[in-house]
Amino acid sequence: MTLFNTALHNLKKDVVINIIGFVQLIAVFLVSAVMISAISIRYVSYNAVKGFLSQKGFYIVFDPLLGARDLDVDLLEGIFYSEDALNTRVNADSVVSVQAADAAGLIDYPITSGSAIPISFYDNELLSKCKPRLKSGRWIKQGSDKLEAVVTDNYVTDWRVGDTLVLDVVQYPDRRIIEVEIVGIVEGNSEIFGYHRPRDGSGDTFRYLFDTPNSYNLNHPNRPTMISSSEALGQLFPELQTRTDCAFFLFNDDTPDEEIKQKAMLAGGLNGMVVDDLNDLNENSKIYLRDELLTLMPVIVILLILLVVSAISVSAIATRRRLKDYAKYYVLGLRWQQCAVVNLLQALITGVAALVISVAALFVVSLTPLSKTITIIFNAGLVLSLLGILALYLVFSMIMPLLMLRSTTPKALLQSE
Amino acid sequence: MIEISNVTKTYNPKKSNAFTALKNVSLKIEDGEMAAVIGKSGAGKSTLLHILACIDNYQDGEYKIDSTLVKQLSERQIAKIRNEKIGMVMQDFALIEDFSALENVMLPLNFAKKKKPNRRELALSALKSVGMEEFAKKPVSKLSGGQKQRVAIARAIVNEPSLILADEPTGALDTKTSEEIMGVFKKLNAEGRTIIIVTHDPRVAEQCGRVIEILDGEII
Repeated sequence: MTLFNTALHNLKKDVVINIIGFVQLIAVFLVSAVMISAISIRYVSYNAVKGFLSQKGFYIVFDPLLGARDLDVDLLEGIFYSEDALNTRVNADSVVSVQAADAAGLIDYPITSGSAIPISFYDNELLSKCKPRLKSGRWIKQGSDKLEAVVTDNYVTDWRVGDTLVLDVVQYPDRRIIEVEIVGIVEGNSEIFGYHRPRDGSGDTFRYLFDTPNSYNLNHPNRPTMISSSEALGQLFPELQTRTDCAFFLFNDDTPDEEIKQKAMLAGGLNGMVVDDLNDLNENSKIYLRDELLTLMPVIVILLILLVVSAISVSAIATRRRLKDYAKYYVLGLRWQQCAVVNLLQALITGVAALVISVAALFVVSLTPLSKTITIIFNAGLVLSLLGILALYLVFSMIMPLLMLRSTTPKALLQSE
Repeated sequence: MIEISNVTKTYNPKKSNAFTALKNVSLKIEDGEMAAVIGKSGAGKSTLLHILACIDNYQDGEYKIDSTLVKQLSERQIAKIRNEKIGMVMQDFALIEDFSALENVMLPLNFAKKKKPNRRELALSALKSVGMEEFAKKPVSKLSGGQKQRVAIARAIVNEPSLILADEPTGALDTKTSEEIMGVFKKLNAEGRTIIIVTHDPRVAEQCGRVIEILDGEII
């Protein structure tokens, strides 16, 4: 406790230099947190689908613009390919899909014509892996006796978690009434699986599989979108037929590549289907993530330099000022090594205070409209990274004090002017 | 009892500028003695005092405090001796300038391994014994030379050490203040503390019960 009080006293007495170091450290923490979150968002999305991309197979997307071009008898079937219907043609070992339907209206809250609410029904595997960030409530529970859904927050309605909606769902040429309980609200700028970004001409990556609902609903920016469970729908409302919006068609490892290629061509020949090879998506994804990290390298290097310079310079100046005092402490019964501990405690107090303030500031930002521009992901990775930065700061804060203490003796200091 | 036997201290040994500050010095100080160590500048007085204070080492010989051989002790044990058994007073007072008088006097109590619960009261008592109680909260930077030295003495005695070492304690003070400070040392000696004062001032030496003269690193 005494060494701690001594460190606290030194901090108060050398306030200017310590404030400079403190502010520098906060800047490093804040910028690092933003960068780590930016990387984290990429990896969260990639990790969600990595299991699928690393398997043999292909990914198909139903593009309604392609489907609408064909006006022959296959048009109806093209719009309403169910998962089973597709796999009858493709014959994959397993299929993981997003089924889609549109709620043309709410019984209790009519929706104007042309602005139906799109609903995505996830397979169980997608439910467990592809959870978007939620603003409130919880994610959909598998095995529930109700049809649960999460809804995006870009809406003009006053829906809340716990509301039960009675939806009028379009099922050409029929309509079906279903009940849905809202269990969660998706965070506004959260990326959702099954909403696709515009294609990247240089090679699509996992990012193609995700997008924010705002960009999806360009014509209807205030229209909500829903996500629910296809298994629950099949159990509770079996008469409702859905169309396949997108799907992974997966094959065993011993399936010849040629066979997979032929089946991909077959799938691509179906009305409105666009096919991507999973291996291509995966390889492009790895290159993209590597390039993202490399792009951030200069920023990381600058941050490290700032951190090291700050740690070394502040500790050197602070130690220089206190060196003769340390000699006096030595005479009074402190060991010489304990004086280094005082420096360490000074750095620890500064570092922890800067970390706490930085985290508080980031938390405040996450609650304000600024969070739409700066997304901070509070997860174990961020905490560990910031603690790692703190540890690095402490290590470098000790270098100069140790060198300075080693280069002299208490007696020499006492005898100096 | 303090006992040094055949102690030799050489600076920069094995180098071309090696200098032997103490040569085969032997000395015994009994409990309760007040001794002055005198000699010209560079004679080895301060070197001897620093060795006695356990803030400097030596190459040959033995130094015992209360029959304990100092050289065999660990760094931790030596630090404990500096804290508990020795009180040091220096010419430039060696106070922490931006601390108050009370905070300075509390330092040895705060650095003790076993912290006493009434440290503040003990520090105030030490200040009172040197006539500085009313200045307890004043930053030492605002005190006069004589007042600073009194605070330094209070700090040296607060842990009730058996040995007080003073290196030129009146060197930076005027005559009147020097006499006051010597009065404090005499009072402490009367209470039974062993005091060793290094000085080049014969008027200080003659107030001590014993005078030890050093010339060129040897006791004469």
